[in-house]
Amino acid sequence: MKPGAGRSMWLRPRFLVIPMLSRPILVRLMVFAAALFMAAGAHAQTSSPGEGLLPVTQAFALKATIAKPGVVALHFDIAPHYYLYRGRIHAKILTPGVTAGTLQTPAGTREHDPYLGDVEIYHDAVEASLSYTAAGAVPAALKVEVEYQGCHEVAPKICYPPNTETFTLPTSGGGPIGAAGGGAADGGAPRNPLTSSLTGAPSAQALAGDQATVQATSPIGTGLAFALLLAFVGGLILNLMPCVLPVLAIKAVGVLEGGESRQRARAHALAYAAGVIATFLAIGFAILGLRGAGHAVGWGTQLQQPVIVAVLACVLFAVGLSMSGVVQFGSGLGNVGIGLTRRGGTAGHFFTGVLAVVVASPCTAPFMGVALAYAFVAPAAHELLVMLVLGIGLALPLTLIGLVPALARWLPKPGRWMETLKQILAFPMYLSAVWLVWVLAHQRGADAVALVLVAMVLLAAASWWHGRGRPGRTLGHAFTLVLAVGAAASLYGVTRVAPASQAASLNGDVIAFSPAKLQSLRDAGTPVFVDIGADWCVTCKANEYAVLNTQGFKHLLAQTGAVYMKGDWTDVDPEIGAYLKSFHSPGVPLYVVYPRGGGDGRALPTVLTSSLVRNALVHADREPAAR
Amino acid sequence: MMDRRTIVILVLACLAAAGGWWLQNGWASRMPDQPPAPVGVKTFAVGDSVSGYTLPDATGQTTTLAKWHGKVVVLNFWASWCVPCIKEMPMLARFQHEHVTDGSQVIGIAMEQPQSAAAFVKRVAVDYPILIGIDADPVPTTVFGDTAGLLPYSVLISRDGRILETKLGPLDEALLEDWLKEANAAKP
Repeated sequence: MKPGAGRSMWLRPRFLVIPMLSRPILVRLMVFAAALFMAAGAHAQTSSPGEGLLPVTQAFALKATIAKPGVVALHFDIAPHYYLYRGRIHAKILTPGVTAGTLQTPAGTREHDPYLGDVEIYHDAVEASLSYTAAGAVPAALKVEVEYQGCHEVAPKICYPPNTETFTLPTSGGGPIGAAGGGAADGGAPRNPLTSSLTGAPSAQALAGDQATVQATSPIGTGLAFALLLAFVGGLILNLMPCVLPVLAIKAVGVLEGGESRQRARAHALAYAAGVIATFLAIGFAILGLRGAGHAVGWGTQLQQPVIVAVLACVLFAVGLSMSGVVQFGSGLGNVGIGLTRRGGTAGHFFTGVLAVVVASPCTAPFMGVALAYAFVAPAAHELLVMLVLGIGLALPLTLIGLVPALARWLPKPGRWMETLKQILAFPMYLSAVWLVWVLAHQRGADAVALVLVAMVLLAAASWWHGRGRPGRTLGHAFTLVLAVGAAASLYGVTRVAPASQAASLNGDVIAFSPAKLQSLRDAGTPVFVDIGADWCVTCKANEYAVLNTQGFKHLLAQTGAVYMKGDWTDVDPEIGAYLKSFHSPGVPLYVVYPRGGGDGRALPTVLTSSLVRNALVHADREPAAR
Repeated sequence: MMDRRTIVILVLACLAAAGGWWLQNGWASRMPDQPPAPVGVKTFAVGDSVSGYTLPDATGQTTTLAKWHGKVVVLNFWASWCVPCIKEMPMLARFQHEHVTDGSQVIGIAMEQPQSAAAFVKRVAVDYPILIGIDADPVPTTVFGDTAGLLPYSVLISRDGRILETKLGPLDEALLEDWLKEANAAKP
């Protein structure tokens, strides 16, 4: 990196933070803080299957298949904290001329109840079988009625009334039923009114899931208009994603710092929007270029470059310092002409927008992934349109506040509390810098960490010296420059550090991703759960925290016999890049479930929930080989 | 320090954040506490008078709730296959004994066949009145607001026959005492 580049990167924050904060900034800071805390809480909650009760058909998901001629297999998938009574599962065959045997159920957990006596209950999952004999020829389809009853064992402790489901199972071919049967019952017509109320509204997850599936099979299946809509919504939601904290704080402090006159506010808002949109377009062009050159590219891939991670860590640290008030920027600006300040201010806002996008890239908002997936394989003009609309979505909320005076008038009055809030928000900045240093440690090890820390210290020293300096003292300026160059040199050093040892120690249950290993597992008919992530991918980490690192997921793997295969895209890896490309994935995370019997993989949505993963794995376990 | 606008904006911000959270996590697939009742079934809401509601007892004799007019009534829907229900029934029986003089009445509504309900009640020594809800149409749980038929489910009825409270899941003594206080404070 050239010294000049380091210097301009370093000086950028001076435009972001100017002592006189305006009301709009304040409000934004508060909005973002609120959004962040809510989002953080959301992650904590996704793992607890607590409040609210599942509809009976989800609490006890029942599937019926004809396992082999003469035997109906029943499989209950029981949600955590729910249980079924062994003695209250009944099944009968409604098809005339077919006689059912006795329902065979495995021994459950024995529990003694003072009033009921000994009862046996089932958790997690249970298999039951019902034999049948036909008086004459076996009819083409069998109608089976299953009744079951179970309860919820944590607060609110309640029991579901007995529920009845009816399945129509094709018996054709005798052997394991083919794709037509697929374990798909007609869903029955559960008598419970819950079911009907549930199936009506498709969930966002389901929508995202469907889209992910579509994208895995036919990427162009998503229309341009739909992709643009998703891009817009995704861009808007990106404003609320938890990993965007640094972006939001930077934006908040930066965009409307002028605030005195309407024209300036408007100019700044537009500059910010221009910065955001220009960056998205630049990414769009870069993707086109790299795609033409046959490289694997994706959202957030710039963070595969350690030097970019290091520079970002320093930028966030510097922004943090200025927000803390440790470093006083702007004192040296007094003598600079007013025109230059104004120009500088506008440029500052523009670069704030740029920075916002760069820092936001570890995040993939819902909907956005689908839009990006579309864009990455779409014709050039469509790809750029999607990028443009994503940028508009991300920039819109803050730009509107700058553009519409009526909105700005609603903002609170400035005061000392703004200063306090600004100082508080400096700490998340430092934490973001810590996170990036951690990413760097994974990419390049202790040497790189030491270099980036040295760069931070030199930056602090440079800014401190610059803050003390008086205008006109060339020697003072020269020293500042020396320190800044030293910082840049340290960052340059990061590019020279060799990659950390690749001895990725995955724990026993996890297999490191390799296409060959995956193929051999699929050939053996084993279900596989492939997880491609990266240390810099916040969405991946959130999914790990909420779902993949939980005991429930472990149990699920054991229960379905699926192998958990994990690929790490923290660093450049052509094999993983090619794999992502084969699923038209714009980046990480990518989750793919391969069914038992070696069928094709199905991509899951980027934001996982326990129930979504459970459904996918159970489905993969039950799914008969498609070919 | 903060003016009213700031507070309003903060509230809006929280709502926006909650919206984002909602979107991010997907429309939760959890059911609302209770789904809507089937079309055409009239259900009671809090405040409605239920004095005219009738159910058979274990011998098949029709009983109307008006029989207990003037008392604070706790309707408890249960079934012998529902462990949380049968765990709370001795406590309900005890509560009934303690409050027999102050005009409180516990009534069990069994969501199962009269024979097994009667046998069960005999075994656990529950001596408050039991009505049989299993064959009634529309289903009594639905009528009283428990449209999913989840058990246990309890309803507090004022001395003048209006629904004051409902509770899905087990009751406890503290809640029952609170209910009693509330019912006694309620204006007829």
